[in-house]
Amino acid sequence: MKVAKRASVILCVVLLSALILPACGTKGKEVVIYTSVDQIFAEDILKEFEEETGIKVKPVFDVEATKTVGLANRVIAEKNKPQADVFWSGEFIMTIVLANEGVLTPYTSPSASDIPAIYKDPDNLWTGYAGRARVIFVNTDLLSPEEYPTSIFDFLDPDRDPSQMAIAQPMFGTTMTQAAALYAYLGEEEARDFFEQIKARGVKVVDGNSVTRDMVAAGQVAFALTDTDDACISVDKGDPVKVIIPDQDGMGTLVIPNTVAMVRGGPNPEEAKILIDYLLSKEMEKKLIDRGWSHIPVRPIDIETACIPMGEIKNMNVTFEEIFNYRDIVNQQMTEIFVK
Amino acid sequence: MNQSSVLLKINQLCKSYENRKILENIAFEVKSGESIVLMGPSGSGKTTLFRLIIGLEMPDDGEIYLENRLVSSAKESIPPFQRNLGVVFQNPALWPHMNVLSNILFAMQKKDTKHIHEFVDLVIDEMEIRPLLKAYPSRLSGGEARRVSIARALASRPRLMLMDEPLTNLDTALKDRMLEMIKRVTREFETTLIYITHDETESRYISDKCYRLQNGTLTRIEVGNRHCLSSDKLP
Amino acid sequence: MIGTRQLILFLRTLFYSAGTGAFVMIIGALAASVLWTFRHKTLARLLKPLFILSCVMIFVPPYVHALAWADLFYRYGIEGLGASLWVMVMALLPVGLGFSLLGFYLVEDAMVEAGRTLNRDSIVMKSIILPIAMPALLTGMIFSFLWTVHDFSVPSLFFVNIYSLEIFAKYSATNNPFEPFMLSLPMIVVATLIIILISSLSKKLMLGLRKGHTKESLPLVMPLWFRCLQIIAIVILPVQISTPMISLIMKVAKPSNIWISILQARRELGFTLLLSTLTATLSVIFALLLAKRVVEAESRHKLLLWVCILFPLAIPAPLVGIGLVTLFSQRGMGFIYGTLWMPVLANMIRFAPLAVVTLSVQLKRMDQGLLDSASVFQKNRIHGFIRVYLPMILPGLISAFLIVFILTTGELGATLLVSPPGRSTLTMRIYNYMHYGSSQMIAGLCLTMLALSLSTGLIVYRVFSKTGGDR
Repeated sequence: MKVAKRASVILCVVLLSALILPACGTKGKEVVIYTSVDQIFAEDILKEFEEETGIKVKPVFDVEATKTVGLANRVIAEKNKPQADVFWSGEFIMTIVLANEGVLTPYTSPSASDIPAIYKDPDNLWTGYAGRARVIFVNTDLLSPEEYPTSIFDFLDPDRDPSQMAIAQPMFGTTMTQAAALYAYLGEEEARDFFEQIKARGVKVVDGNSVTRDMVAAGQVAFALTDTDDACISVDKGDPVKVIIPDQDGMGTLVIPNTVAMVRGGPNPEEAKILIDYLLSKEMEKKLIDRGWSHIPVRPIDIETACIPMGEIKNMNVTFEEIFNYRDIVNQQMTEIFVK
Repeated sequence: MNQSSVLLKINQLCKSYENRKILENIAFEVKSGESIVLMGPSGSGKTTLFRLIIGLEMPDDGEIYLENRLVSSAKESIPPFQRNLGVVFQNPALWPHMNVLSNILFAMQKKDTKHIHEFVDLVIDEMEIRPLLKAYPSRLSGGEARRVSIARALASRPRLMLMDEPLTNLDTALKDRMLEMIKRVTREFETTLIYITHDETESRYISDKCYRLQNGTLTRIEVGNRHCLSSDKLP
Repeated sequence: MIGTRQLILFLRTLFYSAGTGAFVMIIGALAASVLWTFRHKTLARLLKPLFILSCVMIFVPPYVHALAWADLFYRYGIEGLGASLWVMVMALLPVGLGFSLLGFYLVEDAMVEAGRTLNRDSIVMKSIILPIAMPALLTGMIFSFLWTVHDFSVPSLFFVNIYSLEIFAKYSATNNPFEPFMLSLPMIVVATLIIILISSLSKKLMLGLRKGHTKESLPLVMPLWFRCLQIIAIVILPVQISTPMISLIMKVAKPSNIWISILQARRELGFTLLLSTLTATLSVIFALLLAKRVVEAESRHKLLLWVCILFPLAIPAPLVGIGLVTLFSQRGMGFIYGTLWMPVLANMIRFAPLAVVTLSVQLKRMDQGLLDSASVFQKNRIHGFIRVYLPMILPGLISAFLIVFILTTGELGATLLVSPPGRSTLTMRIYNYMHYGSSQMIAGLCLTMLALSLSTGLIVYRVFSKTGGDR
């Protein structure tokens, strides 16, 4: 009986507190940001913004496990009643999707004046900066320097053991973006052939770029495709690994910028602009590089990193729009090839 | 059948739970064809004795013999189903996922339900449950469930029937009818019966041979001397 | 609508998920069957702590199991469907064990004892105990099946693709919830069919179940092969517990790291507790209102009712999330949209059906006589409800509460889409950090979740033993 009484008291308290709690937040200046930038990097930056400006940031972080279907879809679904003010993505595809869906609003940030036009949407719906590159990640215990791959076509080299290579599923994330870039660069037929061979040879196809990274670090495969941010975590840890920027003598590698955009009809437009200016600043781009999220600046910034080889990185000669246009075809074909 | 042979013999039986003595040096015999009644106030150990005879528990000391075969001692215990007992519990304990017929035939090794053994057929008629054979236990009334549970116990043609307050919660008219039925079938099927109850009427109806269990010990109550009953009701 | 490639994928997924569900329940049932075959003292001393620990492992996301096992499997070149199945079985074993324990606990002692006087113990196990426990076992199996069908992250780690990956790929490409919904229809249909099948199967079984306890009887004597299987199942439990534990403890490296992760995640921890408590409380209230109706419904309506109640279990999590966003982000819905109530609603849709199932079982087991006597002696309805009905149904309430609480704590797919800005759950944080590969942090958080659930588990165990629900 006592248990029952106690249970009902607890129940009442919980219900009451739940009714009261959501209502009692202080209504100061605030801004809502949806971001797919890893929480571990974004959290500190947003906290610093709060301290500097006094504007409270309410973030929603995306999770890799949802394969980028999470937040961008939420923004689209919220079209009628936008919750977010700012969309900050670690890549550009979903941002272009949002732009095409009409859920973004143009904003020309003064902080972005020194960013080259190729990194900006023609209608100023979004701005790109702080790039990450697609790289080949090598286990130095398993391969000697002369055996290091130098091109993504080394994944098709008949003299190399395919079971010692890995890529992330090319239907999702930056691997899909890279696939779309290859389609744009090589043409549909040749690019499809590349991935069919990857599948036919038995290259390991795993869940995500952090998994390919972990497999290389653990020596489960000799080399794999991944992003610089994933690779550099392992390098900083002191694993027996090396980052190779592929195809520097050929087509170049894909550099994927972060993108920042303002959501149309968001509840706090003025605060959104302040946050966007903050995020797009040159100091922030440097900060993102220093902290290991980004490695390739889009404007002249002195960087020092032990993770990737110094010097100019040769970028693939394709536009974001071209890459985006291949997205549907690539997704469909990659699913056909790899989901079996 | 040899009417005078000893069917059940209990020797110096002891049982305690958590240092509380429930049964102390219990000894008695039941002869073939006999019906005996075991009485005693609540908590006197009637059900414990019942469970020991069935083989659901082991005694701390003493032995139980069935047809001169040792079935229970502190060291060994023959599994209940090998004792050829018919058992009716306080709760009819009919299996909800089987219909009445399957419940009754559970002890039969053969699964062939079409050829009901002649004896089972007889039991079904005696217990007046033929219309219920296809029904599931949830649809049965209290009286019907008791009848099925008695039929189930009888179906395996046991030498010894044990009933633990099988008629609790039944109304007087129904109780009388059931008692009549029990008496009739045990006589007809030549079954030895141990009947546990605290109801004076029931005990008188079943048998004149009555044992009383109190404070862990067993006393025989002679025919005609039913004084124990009134003292049963004292705390 | 579906091509050959998709059909093969679909069939393989069914095979893989059904296999996982079957193994989870077989191992769980074998382990839990010791309730009937071991002496109670052995059970209480040795196995109860093991069982509690094993059940509490439900808080460790399958992905963490996968990472721990992957370290081992990759070393020996083990991969493919078998490896993935094993890991899912390890991750879902708490479900199997929990439902099996519930099922075996539901079997009335008198039923078993009546059987033992008439037939061999092995036949009693096969023909009486198992069928009576079957509704719980089958529920556990559906649950594991549905969980496996929707989780593609574990198979991906072992280079296996399943159908839900296809659904996600489609979603990722189109950003239109309708297409993946169409694709997931076959999965929903199959899941619904299984639910219908099981509801109709268990209809008979659920009838007439009442709780009844007698004295402790001698354990059932089972054949040697069965005892061997039981021992194998029991031995699997420490493996299931220790593999991720050891891997977590090794990764956490220093005890202070746990403290650091808790400190950093304290806001998420608070929000998770609030969200889970609220969802579980409301689900239990909802289930309490509904279960009584379901139990008392006419049998011809019952099946339809059950299918309606269980249907949400078949819907992939992101679809629940997107559906709610689409529905509630309309004008005039501001009072609920963007508040704590959205994730509460999402989790209720996903998990309240399980609370209804749990409470229906409990209601079936209640002694109508006690309720009737309450209706005579009570001062008024509330008095009777609080003093008699509530205490009687308490074990069911607590189990239902816990099931929903635990699942809400671990939910990701729907919560992510509807959680109010600025708030996130512990699981969201864990998955976020998983990408970063900050294994110290993840390990710390997972250990925190474990400690949390262990203490919850112990409290509930105490409550249960005090209310006499302990077998």
